[in-house]
Amino acid sequence: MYRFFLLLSVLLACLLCLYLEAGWWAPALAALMLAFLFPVWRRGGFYFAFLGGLLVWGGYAGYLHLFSEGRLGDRLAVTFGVPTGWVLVLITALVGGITAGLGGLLGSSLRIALAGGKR
Amino acid sequence: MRWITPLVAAVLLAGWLLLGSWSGLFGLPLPALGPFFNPGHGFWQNTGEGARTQELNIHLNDERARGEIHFDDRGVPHIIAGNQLNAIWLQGYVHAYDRLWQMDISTRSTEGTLAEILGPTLVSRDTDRVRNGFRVMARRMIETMQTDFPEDYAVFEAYSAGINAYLDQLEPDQYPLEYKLLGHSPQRWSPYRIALLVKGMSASLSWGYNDARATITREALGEERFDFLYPERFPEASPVVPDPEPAGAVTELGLFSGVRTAPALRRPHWQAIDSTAFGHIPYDPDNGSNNWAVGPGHSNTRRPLLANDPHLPLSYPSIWYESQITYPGCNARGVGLAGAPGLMIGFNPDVAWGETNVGQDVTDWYRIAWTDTTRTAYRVGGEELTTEWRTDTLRVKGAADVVVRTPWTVFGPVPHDTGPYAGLAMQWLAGLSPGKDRRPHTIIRVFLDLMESKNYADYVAALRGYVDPAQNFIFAAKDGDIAIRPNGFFPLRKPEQGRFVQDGDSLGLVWDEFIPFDRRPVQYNPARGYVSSANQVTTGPDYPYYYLGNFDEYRGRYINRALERQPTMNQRRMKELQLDDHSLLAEELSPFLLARMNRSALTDQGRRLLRILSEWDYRYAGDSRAPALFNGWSRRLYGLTFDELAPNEDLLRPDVWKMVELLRTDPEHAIFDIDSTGGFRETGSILVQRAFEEILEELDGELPPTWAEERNARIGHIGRIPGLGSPLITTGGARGTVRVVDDGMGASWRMVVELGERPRGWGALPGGASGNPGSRFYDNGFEEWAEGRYHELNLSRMPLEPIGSWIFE
Repeated sequence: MYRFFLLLSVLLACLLCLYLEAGWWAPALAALMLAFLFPVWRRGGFYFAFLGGLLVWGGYAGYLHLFSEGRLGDRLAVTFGVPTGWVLVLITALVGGITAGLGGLLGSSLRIALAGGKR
Repeated sequence: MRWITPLVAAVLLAGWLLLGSWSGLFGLPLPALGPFFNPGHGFWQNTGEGARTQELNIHLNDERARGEIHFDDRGVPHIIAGNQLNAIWLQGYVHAYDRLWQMDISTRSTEGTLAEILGPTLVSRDTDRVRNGFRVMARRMIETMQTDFPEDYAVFEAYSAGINAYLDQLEPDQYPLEYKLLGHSPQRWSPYRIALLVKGMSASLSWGYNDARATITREALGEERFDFLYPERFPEASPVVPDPEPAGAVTELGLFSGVRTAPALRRPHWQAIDSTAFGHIPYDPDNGSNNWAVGPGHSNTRRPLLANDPHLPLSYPSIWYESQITYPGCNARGVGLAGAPGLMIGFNPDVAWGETNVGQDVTDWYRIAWTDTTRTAYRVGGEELTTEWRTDTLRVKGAADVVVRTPWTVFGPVPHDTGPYAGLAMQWLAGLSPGKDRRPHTIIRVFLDLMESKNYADYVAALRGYVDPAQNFIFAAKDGDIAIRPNGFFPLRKPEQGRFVQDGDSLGLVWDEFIPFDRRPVQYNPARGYVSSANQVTTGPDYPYYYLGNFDEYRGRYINRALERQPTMNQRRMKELQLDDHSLLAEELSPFLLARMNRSALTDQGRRLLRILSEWDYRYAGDSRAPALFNGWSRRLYGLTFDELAPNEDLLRPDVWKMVELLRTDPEHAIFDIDSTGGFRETGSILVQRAFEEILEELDGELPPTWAEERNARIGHIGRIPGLGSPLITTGGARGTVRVVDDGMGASWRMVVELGERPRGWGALPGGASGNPGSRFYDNGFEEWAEGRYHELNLSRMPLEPIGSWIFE
């Protein structure tokens, strides 16, 4: 149950970060605190935060890519030597996911360590 | 034990954050990945159209920030203001909105501050700019404006303030893409930066010189052979301003050999030419532009027509920025340069104007008599003068500062320590900034006044302030007047002065006297019914003042012939001529190639190739195979003909017309003999044959490529970032044809105007208004331009259905 709370709250936090035009590292900080709050497993702390960051960054980038008919994404795909702008959407999603995920991992593992190894 | 996991997690997270914040990861040319991919900040924020498609009300605490900007369906801004300064302020604002990075990088390039953002590889380029004095020239221009032309300076200030007002509200997430890719930020604008832009234009248009190469070549070949191979004048030239009908006597010519104080000879349609050189770096004889205008007698609607297409580097974003500027007393439409106020080529309800480059040589080089090896002082005409050493510090990204020291003489800087120009001082007209005693206004007022011109007198008055880079200013007016004036400051010269490196032994060599304005060449309503220029030689041989330069003699002759042959013109024929890809060189040379071939010994493949050429209509069409064949053949023939010059790269190369002339008139000439073949004596015909055999061998049974493949022309991004350019251009055109298209060079704007009660205009821009590769207005003009279509330019104040409007109040 908590992992869904974690996912939901990471989603909201990542959206809030976008809305507040926060730095790229902000999802890591948010996920760190949220995974510290919600009692999930260490790996759960990573996976659900990862999923949250992935969905928000990937979703927003995908929306911008689609909405602009891929004009910029497809040009930059050539710049970076990848086949299509969707690869850049995927990279964006992964960067968002890993940033939030690593934050989540640290948050949950800190909480578990403080609790003496228990969830 | 239980702290191991959080420790590992913390290390991973810290490592990740470090990695993502690291620009230039592992030495790769990459931005910091975290901020770049962050969809709320990075490049994804550049995907939309932004403010262009919005209705905005902008309130700013600046009296100049008043007026309206409406964007039409092609994204082109229409500026409406209450007075000139407000209009210029708004122009600065909208230039910044669309072209910020372009303006920034192009002025950095002239200033020599690229290493500051791009790193140590740019240090030598920056040093070169500093040593050539660009910073000094730009500062000098601004100082003169402040002291002598405060009204013109106020225009520069208003324009800069508009740019800075845009910068003030610009958040980093809205920075143009290139800033995010390269990881730097915009710099504030100032009149000095506009001056840098102007000097950058001079660098690409009036900085052509061959002084040292000509000197070396004359020494190597001897005077007689030098004069034979490099005559100053093409006998069949069709000059911008031909000699007037023989009005007087040949005896007058005696006067012309006169020297620095040239004779005050008055002739109809004449004004004096300055010998300003427009050169290129590297010198490119095919760079140039076309313009022509026809009067009512030559137009089938009885309305005057004007056409202009400037050939400059083609890039995204385009060098030109299209707009309409309206305020009481002015309703002008056309193109200007992003980074400078005003419209350089355009029209209003009464007149149309445009430019091509004059191409005269206004860069001279002097040997300096230094008093010692450290160059602390030098002697000029018995006087000992102290060298002025200027010190500039280059900031370099990721490396230590570099200090550049440049010796300056009375002539100008000493830019080079190695090569043929080592230790020579340079005097270049772009370094000159005349005060109020020599001109009524500065370059900016020239264009602002043209925008407001109503008739020929206004046009003439506007041109009086122009110094450099000299242009062939073309003009047509509603009332039927047409004119062309090769215009700019031109130093008075003795014959051959400036052609070779000179001894800097007299203060009299410092340019002080110029051909007076009313003696520069003029064509005003000539009997032939049209005026035209395409970078050919400026005047006929009777023109009394000496000048030199590098001129194109093919496009101009072709345009003049086309205008002669066409009894009347109309707007459609004007466009057809702009889009004409017929090559006069091919027309004149290719029959000689074919005639000199010995066909009996040819293989089937050889006959097939000859048929391609003999059936050719001399058009550089995209799908034609003949142009590649002809180019390859004539290039090889040129190499074989002038093989004597090949071993020394410093020697000048003769003009191609010289080879054509020799092949036609004297195919047995010794120049056709190839040195390396000892006893055997080649002729023109043998070289033609040999060049053809080389092509046969190289093609190895294949057909030559189509012209589009061979030319391989695209429009690239101005910062050469891959992916941000255009696809292959498949339509016709080449450097030597009226329709100039090459890789990264070509007609950067095509305009045709018909004046009359209701003026009509047509334009084509190889690009768009926006500098943002994510915008649909980044390259929306490309297809139209490539296919030779035009969009209509009208002068109604408001676009019919604006896609966005900004109201400044």
